[in-house]
Amino acid sequence: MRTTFFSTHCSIVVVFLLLSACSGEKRENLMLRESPMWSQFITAGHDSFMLGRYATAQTQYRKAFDLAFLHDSAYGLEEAGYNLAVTQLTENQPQKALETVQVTRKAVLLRENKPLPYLLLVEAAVYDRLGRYEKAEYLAQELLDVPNTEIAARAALILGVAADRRGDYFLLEKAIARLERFKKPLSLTHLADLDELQARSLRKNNPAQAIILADQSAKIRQKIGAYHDMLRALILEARIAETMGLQNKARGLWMRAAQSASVMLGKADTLSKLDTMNTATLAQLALSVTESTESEK
Amino acid sequence: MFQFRLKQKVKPLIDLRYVDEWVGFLVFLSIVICVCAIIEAGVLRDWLTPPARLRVILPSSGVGGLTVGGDVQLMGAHAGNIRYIKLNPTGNMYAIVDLDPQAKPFIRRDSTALIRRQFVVAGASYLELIRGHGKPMDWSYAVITAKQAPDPTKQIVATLESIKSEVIPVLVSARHMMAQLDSTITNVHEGKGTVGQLLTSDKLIHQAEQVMVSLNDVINRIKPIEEQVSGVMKNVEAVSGDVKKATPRLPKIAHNVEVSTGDLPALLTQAQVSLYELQKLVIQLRGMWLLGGHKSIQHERLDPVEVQP
Repeated sequence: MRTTFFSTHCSIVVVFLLLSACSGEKRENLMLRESPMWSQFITAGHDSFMLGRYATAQTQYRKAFDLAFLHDSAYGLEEAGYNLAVTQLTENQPQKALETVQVTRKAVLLRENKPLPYLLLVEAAVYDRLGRYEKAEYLAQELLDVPNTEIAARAALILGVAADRRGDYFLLEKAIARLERFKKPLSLTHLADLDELQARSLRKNNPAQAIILADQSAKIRQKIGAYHDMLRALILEARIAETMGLQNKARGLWMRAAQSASVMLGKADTLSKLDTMNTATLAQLALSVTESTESEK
Repeated sequence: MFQFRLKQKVKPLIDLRYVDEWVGFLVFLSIVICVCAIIEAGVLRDWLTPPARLRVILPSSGVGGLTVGGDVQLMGAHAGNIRYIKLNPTGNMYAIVDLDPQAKPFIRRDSTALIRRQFVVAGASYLELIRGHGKPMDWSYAVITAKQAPDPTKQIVATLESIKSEVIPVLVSARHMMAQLDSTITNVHEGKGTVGQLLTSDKLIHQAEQVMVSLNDVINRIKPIEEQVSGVMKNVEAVSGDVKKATPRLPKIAHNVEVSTGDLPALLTQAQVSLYELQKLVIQLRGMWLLGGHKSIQHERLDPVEVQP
């Protein structure tokens, strides 16, 4: 009886110890999360971002970023800085996003020496958007083997897109191989990414297969609400259609891409004028969202 | 001799006693007087005190009209003469001056000499010694340098040249301006340009007259409007009277508005905090297993999927 009582108490103590170990999140992070003001700014930023109000989201993330300086919190700086940079990139302000990444990294490393994979990911995407593909490839390769699968998958997509734009098919194949290594069945996001990269890989040797994959990628992204990625897939499909000589299909795809891009750029009032535009103008409008001033190779 | 006279028996017609002695005495006296005069005149002193000798190196441009025996002055007084003018083997000329010894204390090592003319631009040249204030001169080999005094005629000529160079361009400009003015006035007289047309043409005056007529017409048209405006003004006056009546109540209204709006910021903050707490509550409720939910971790980071290449 006594032995049973002792063992029960021991079990309770062990359970409490395990629970306390499980809640091993850093005290500073918890304190910041408990700061109502910082959390409110971040939550308001997220809500604005989800509703597509990027300017408001930027303001909120900027406030959270400044507040993290006040709290001298590396965690707060990293989180708010990353969110701010992603929002700036989404609003097609890659130069501003690059500045934010650099400022954030400097501020975090001043307080704590740790790897910053999220910031690296944004930086790779920024360099790709700015047309500095080699730099984007280098940074993306650094992230291919990180434990966080979401980061690794996104890094593989950035690597594949940048490599295709630069014409480096070895790296494109490397990105495809990384996506194929993920545990099956693949999530819809990863599947769409894989389809896009395979379409890019096949578009010269097997355009008929490539156009099917690009279409499939666009449809999946439309389904999951990844409209920026969908726009890129539509552009890829339009290019493949052009190489196959399917001019009518290409114009239709360029039209769809341009319409999506117009709304994304906040130029919905120009939608009615798109019908009168030629294919080159439509393509230019669509590409202004996804690519830098340099033309795709 | 006295013995000879005593022996004479014949008595002379005029008896002059001691004549020879007296003559001798007078001759001796005159000689003494002559010596005293000479001593008093200082001739001996001059003979006994030789003049100081000074070498003056003349300028390379020439002697400037100096001649042997020429005057040498110090502080405006005669102080000696030029003894020689010589040319040394190196090609320089120098003059040797016999200087009054009285002038020696005033000639120092920093003394110089100027070659001047008697009447500034004319007359005989003379050497003017400049008094020095430095160390005493070594009179065993006394040398000073002479310069030609500035020629006032050259300065006058230079000044005239300068005035000429300043005045001539002004005269040219004035002549050009006069020519332009002449041309402008001629054009104006001929009726060219706006000013010329103003002077010669009546067209502008006619236009002004027409404008005045039009203006008159416009004024006539405005008169009825003015009457209407005065009517409106009466209405405004009436309205302002009403406003005046309402004015005493305005401070009270403003106070009420102030009281009502004063609480707005606090109300807004409370609403924000309540919303935030509500959001937290909803998240907690969603995670309760009793309501069929599951624990969800709220991320502060945006999803990596949002990072768009």
